[in-house]
Amino acid sequence: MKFGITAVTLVVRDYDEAIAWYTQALGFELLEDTPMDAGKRWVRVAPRGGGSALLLARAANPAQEAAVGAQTGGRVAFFLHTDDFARDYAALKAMDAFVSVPRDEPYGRVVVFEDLYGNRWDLIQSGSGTSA
Amino acid sequence: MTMTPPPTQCDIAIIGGGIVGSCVAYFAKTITPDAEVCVIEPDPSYEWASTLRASGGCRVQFTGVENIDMSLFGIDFIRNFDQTMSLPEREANAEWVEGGYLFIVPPDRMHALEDAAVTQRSRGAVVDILSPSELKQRFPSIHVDDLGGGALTPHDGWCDPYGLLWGVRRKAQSLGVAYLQDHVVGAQASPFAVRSLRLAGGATVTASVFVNAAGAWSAKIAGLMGMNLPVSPLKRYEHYFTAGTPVERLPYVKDYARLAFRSEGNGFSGGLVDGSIKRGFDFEVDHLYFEDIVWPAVAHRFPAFEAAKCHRTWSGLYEQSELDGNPIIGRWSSKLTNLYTAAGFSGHGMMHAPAAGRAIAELIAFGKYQTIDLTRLGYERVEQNAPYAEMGIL
Repeated sequence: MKFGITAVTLVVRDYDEAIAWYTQALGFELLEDTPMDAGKRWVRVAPRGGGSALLLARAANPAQEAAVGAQTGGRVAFFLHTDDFARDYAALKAMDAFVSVPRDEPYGRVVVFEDLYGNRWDLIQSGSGTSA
Repeated sequence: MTMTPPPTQCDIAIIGGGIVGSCVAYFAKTITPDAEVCVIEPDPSYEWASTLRASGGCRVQFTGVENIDMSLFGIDFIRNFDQTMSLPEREANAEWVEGGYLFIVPPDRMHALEDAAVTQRSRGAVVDILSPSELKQRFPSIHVDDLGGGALTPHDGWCDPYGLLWGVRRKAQSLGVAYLQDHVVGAQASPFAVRSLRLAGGATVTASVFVNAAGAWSAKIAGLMGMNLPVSPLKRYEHYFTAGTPVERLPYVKDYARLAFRSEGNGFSGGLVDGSIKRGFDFEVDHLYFEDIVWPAVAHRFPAFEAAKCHRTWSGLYEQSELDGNPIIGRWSSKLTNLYTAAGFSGHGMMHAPAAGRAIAELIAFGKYQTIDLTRLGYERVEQNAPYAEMGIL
């Protein structure tokens, strides 16, 4: 068996605000925005560096609304790799979304930020950590 | 139309610029020099701050290894303070006096004192256990008939809290720490993180991590973020008094009745805490307290103080940790995970500030403690209602 994950569902409050945030704040590419029944849309965004896409799914009932920003209960949900930590950390600083200071771990240099809903992301540069 | 100041952005925002908050700032800037650090402190005169109302004592006589280790580091830090913290344009001066600490106890407490000494020595402290006759030989003015003995820690002592606080603050500022003069009146949070603070002056402070080092006010600050922090203001008095008759120079003496005093200039400085008084932000001085409470205890233990005279009494607040008397140090890992706390020092904040400040800076920088492991002092024990009490506080 040889599988690949092509998309992961991220529950959002609103399609357009989520698209705006991921494409503008994180610079993701909008891969697809296809209308479906009952006002639903099939929306995929992805970082330009490759990897799995995110399927932005609008919350449609109270249970799903409660999951917005809380899909992992405060754990880091997504891991965003960069080839230039210092550059991208500086660029993302304006978002004002970081909830830790950068630190070096055995697997690389990492800092945690939250998206517009409070989902947690690691910004990581793999390899032996270097002070940036 | 009102003018709203622009938001202030930093990486590490510290609430409270007393000795604890200033030590967090200094060590954060030392360990993570790239981080922008700001301290929100309402009063640059520190009029009501506990730090400047402290007696300055630093001792290793605790039972908890965390407290002993924090004291050993704090004493070392303060002993070397003038060299390490001086700036080209301004000398730092903590006025360290290695006067020693002397705990004296009734016979039924000697075992506990000896057990504590074993623990303290195992951490690297020097502790001399003294019999009543040895006590009498060293300190002839002590009434020893009802004592089981004492423990003398000769490398303990006291410093000048004012010199210590301003030395740390100026050093931190020289490294780039910004002090904002304002009150924190509100906070905004996502489900799992503090996002920003609202200040009384209208400004907003956003940061990646936040540290509550507000001392006696720390529970109020925690409350703004939905955190229940069991830390209350507890008033205590410090008195400056003279003996009336000549008395040998004394170490910082603490007895089982909670009397605590030391030599200061030509006289003595100390007090006797009443832990049962009503909690609150109360600075009113009861000028009969020395006469009614402290003097009988001093005169019983040191008959030479029969004619003692109190020259000055001032009040200050302990940030009393109501769960177990030990500080709450660490990250709120179950909820707002970028909120760190260093509070509830219960009268030991000055001596433990250097170690606590370094510990918080390590936790922020590395995600775990690098030197002294303070895990057991974390907020988790509050959430689990599992007190971790210090047994050696007399």
